[in-house]
Amino acid sequence: MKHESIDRYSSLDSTLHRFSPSIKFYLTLILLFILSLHLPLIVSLVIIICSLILILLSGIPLTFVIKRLILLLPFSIFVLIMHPHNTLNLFMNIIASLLITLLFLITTSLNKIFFEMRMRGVPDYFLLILGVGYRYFFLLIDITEKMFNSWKLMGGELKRLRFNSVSKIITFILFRTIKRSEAVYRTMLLSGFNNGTS
Amino acid sequence: MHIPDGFLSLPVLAGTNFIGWGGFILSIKKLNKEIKAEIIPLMGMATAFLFTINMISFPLVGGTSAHLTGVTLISIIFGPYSGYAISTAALLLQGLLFQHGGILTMGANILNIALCGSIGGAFVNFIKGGWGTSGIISFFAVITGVFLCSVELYLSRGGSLYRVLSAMIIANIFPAMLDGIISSMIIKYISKKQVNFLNIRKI
Repeated sequence: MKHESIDRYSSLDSTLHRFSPSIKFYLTLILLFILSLHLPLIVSLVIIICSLILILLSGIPLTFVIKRLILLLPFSIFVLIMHPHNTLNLFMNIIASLLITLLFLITTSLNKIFFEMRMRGVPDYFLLILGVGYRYFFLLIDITEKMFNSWKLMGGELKRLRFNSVSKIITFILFRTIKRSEAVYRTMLLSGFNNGTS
Repeated sequence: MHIPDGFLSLPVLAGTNFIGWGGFILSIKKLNKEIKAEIIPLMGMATAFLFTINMISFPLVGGTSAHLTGVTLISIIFGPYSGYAISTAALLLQGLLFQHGGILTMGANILNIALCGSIGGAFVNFIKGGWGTSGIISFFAVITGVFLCSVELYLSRGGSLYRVLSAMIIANIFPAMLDGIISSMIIKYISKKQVNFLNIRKI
C-alpha cells in the first residue's frame, strides 16, 4: 500500500513550473494527439529527448522519472507481446506519451489544475468532491495501513486472503469515512459553506 | 485495467472520450438538479474511500497483485449518477496523482471502470438485490470493463481479439472475483448492522 504521489515535485520553482497550466495542458494534448497518429520513429525519439531535457531543466531527478516509467511498463509489455509487429516504433510511441503526460503532471500542482477546471465551468460541488477526496485520501490510507498492521500483529496475513477479515476492515474504513464526512460537513457549515456556491 | 496514454488510436480515443465524458456530463446535470449540500462532503469522502481501497493490493502468483475497484459497491450505496461522479473523481485523482491512466485515455478508463460499475449498481438497486446479487453484479461489472478494454486495444492495435481478450480475462479474473466477494460481504455487514447510509437518497 506504499504511495508516492507525482505532485511531490510540483512545488519546485522552475520556468516550466511557472508556465501557465492551461497552455501546458493544451500542449500536452496536442503532443499526445500527434503521437496517436503513429508517425515515424523519429517523431517519438525527438519528443522523448525534448521531454527528458525539460524534466532535467525543471530540477526533477531522473531516477524518479525512470521509476515511474518502470511502474507503467507491465501494461506496455502486455500490449507489445500481443502485437509483435513494428514493436520498436510502438514502444517508443508509448514511452513518449508516458513522458509527455508525466512532464505535465509533475510540473503542475493539483490546486492549479482545480483552478483551471473551475475557470472552464466545472461545477463547484464536483471540485469540492475532488478536493475532499484529495485531502482525505492520505488520511484514510494511513488509517488503513495502521489497521492492516495491527491485524498482521494479531497473526493475520494478507497472503492467506481471509476475505472475511479483509471485508470487515474495509467495512470499518467505510464507517470511518461516513463518520468523518459528518465532521467535515459541520466544519464546512461553520466556515460559511452554502451548497457548493460559496 | 487503467489504460495509459499512447495505447489507443485516434478513432477509439474519440469514441471512448465521447461516451465516457458524455456520461459524466449527464450525471453532473442530474446531480445539479438533485444534489443536497450535506451529501457533498460524503461524496468527497467516498472518493477518498474508493481511492484508498484501490491501493489495497493482494499478492498473486508470480509477483503480480490484484486490487479492488469498489465502483459497483459505491453505486449501490449512492445511486448510479452519484456513483459515476464519485468514480470519475477517483479516476481523475488517480491519474493526476499517480499517473494511473492517461490524459487522453481518461474517457476510455471512465467508460471501462466507472460506467460499467455504475450500470451494475443501478441494476442491483433496480431489482432490489441483496448481498449475493451485489457480489455477482460487481464481478460481471469488472469483467465487462475488461471486455471493453480488450476491444479498445484490439480496435487500436489490431491483432487477434481472441488473444487480447483471453490474456486480459486471465489477468483480471481474480481481481473481478475479489471485487465480487468483498463487495457482497461489505453489503452483508452493512445490512446486518442496519447502518442508515444504505438509506441515503440514491441519485
